[in-house]
Amino acid sequence: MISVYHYMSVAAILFAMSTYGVLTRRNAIVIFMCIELMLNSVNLTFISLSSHLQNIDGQIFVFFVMAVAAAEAAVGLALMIAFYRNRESIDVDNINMLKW
Amino acid sequence: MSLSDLLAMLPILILAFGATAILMAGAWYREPLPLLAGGIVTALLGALSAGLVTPPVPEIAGLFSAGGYARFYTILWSLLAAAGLMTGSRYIIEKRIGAGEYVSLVLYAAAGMALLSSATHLVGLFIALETFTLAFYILIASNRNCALAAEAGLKYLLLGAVATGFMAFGIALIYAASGSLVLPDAVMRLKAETGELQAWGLLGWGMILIAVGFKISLAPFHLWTPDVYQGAPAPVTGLLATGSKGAVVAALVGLLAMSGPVWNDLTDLVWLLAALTMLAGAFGALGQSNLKRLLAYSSVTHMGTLLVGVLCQTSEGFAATTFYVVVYVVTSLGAFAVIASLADGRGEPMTFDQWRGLGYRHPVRCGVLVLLLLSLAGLPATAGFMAKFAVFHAALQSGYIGLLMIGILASVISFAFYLRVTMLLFQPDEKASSWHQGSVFEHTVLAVCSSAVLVLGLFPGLLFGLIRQILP
Amino acid sequence: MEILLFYSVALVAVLSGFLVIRCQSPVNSALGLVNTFFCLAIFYVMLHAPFMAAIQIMVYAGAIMVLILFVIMLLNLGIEARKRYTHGIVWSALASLMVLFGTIYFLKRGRVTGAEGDLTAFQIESIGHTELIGRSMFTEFLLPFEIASILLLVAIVGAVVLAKKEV
Repeated sequence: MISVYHYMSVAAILFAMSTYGVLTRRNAIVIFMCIELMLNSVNLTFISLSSHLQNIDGQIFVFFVMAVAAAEAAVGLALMIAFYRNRESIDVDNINMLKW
Repeated sequence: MSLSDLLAMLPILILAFGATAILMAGAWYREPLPLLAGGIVTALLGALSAGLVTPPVPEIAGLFSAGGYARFYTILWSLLAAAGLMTGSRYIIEKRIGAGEYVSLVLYAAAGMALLSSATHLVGLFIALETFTLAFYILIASNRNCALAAEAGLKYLLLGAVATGFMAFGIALIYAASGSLVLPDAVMRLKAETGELQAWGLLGWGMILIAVGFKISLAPFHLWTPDVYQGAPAPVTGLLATGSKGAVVAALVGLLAMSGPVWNDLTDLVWLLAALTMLAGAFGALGQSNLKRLLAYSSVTHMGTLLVGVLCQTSEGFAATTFYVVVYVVTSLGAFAVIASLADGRGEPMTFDQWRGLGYRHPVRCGVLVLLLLSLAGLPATAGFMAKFAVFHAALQSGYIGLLMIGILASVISFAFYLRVTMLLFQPDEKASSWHQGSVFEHTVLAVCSSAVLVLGLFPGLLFGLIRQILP
Repeated sequence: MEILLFYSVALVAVLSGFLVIRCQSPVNSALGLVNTFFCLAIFYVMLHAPFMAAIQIMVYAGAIMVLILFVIMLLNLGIEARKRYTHGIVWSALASLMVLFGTIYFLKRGRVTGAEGDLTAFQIESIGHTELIGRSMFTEFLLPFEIASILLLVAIVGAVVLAKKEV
């Protein structure tokens, strides 16, 4: 039988992987995709918990996580376009006018 | 949602609807000054309604508190928004930023901060946090012609989004261990029968601490702070350094004050974070030659000191932390307002070369800056001293002697760099050039901030009495 | 049977997640990400949350991924011409392994609280998942729903302010 622990383990693996991606990648859009993956692993945790605890609150939270992810995607990609217009690149190693 | 719920959240409604109205007005009417004045009036109305209208219910829809603590912070953040708009007025006009958008974003951010400080449900907490963070991403990069600003915005966005991920995962784990999203129930149910935190509760708190660390720049998650503060325009930096950090601390303090000591298993970790943050900020600031970066590191040190107050987990510690937040907000906002008021066509004065000898060109504003810097350093008779004293006193009573020593060491080091700036300002230098004279709005903010620093320094009892009454 | 399905979907999800973080070309990463989204949608169906599965496909695979791909194409980032595309492998591998082992360790030690609510699979079957979500969303969570509308409005304003050329 599949328990909530199975789902949470998958979510934990995805979360750790996306942390690795965020830290290592240089392309800002790929970093952004890794962040989306991170939020998705959170969603998986919430939905599996919601079904295990028989309580709908977890799924409502997922709803809001999705709203936040969509809003962040819109603003983030607009920022990347603004950045690219100035610098012709979205490589985070080029985010170096400020020293990091 | 009943009528009494709506009445209880009147300040938020004023801020949100006012912001929407100004946004709509700005679409047709592009004259910046009336829009700005509308925004300032809206923010002041929000503060006034939070202060005068007694909410008929203690909690709004089971999601946000309407108690004294929440109203206190609603007033603070509304006033902050008004001050932020005042300092930003010249920036908007000169850089030709869309006034409707700018004003409405600041007001939305204030509404989000007020909601975050009063959240009693993890859903409300998460969504309020994201609302104002999102507004800040945009405000930072609002000047499209400035490459540095776009870069700072992108940097803040990437790190902020990672922090969102950690925050959400932490909330998920707390939900797993407690089965509830209602605060402070969820946090209190994390304790096992033996009185320790459950394993998942511990991990969840750890994740939330990482997220909070990113948001309020605790070491080792503070590296973005100087860059973003330097890249963002000074009026926005003033809001970012004060509001976005203060609101998170306020939410944390409110949560811990409601739920009793829940951090017993985490004290070592938080101890380490606080010590590391104070030292990293103090030593980092020593090597800076740019006033905005220096203020960024100084804010890191202050966040470490705030964490000491939170760590005590006594009512005295919470009162001291709340006092410290107010003092820090006033002082830091004032310091960035000085930078904003000097900005002209060349940009803002930032490097120490630009500041050298400026005390003779602009004696009043540099005098204010010196007063604010000395308050940040914690010179007796200023508000900063009383705030630091209160936090360290609480730490002493809770037995954190080691942390107290580190705090005092960090304060001594920070005296060195604040004094360095002070001496720099009044160094005779023929080459010092004049900067902008500043507008009436900016001078008003500076007058309010500097008098608040003096009043709170001489009569801290006024605010302390109020804070003791409203703490949950 | 179900457990077999679970493991194969989990394997695909993790593998395509790996593609996201390792592929050199952002377009390939994006395709890996879409694949992960679909796998998670299958999980949601298995967890009796069909509405969330539909939303997952529509919002993530439909909206967010299209936006990301659009920006990749717009900025012409198809190929990151054979230069180094990663940095700081060692210390970030350490950090993420710490996250992984920390999480798994605590997962092993911790316990989920016992079933608390009254939302059984039978109830979902009889009333309908969408209706249950709607009821909760528009009664108990109406206020955060309204705040989410502010959030989205801020995002729209932001996208317009940041991406448009000159006033």
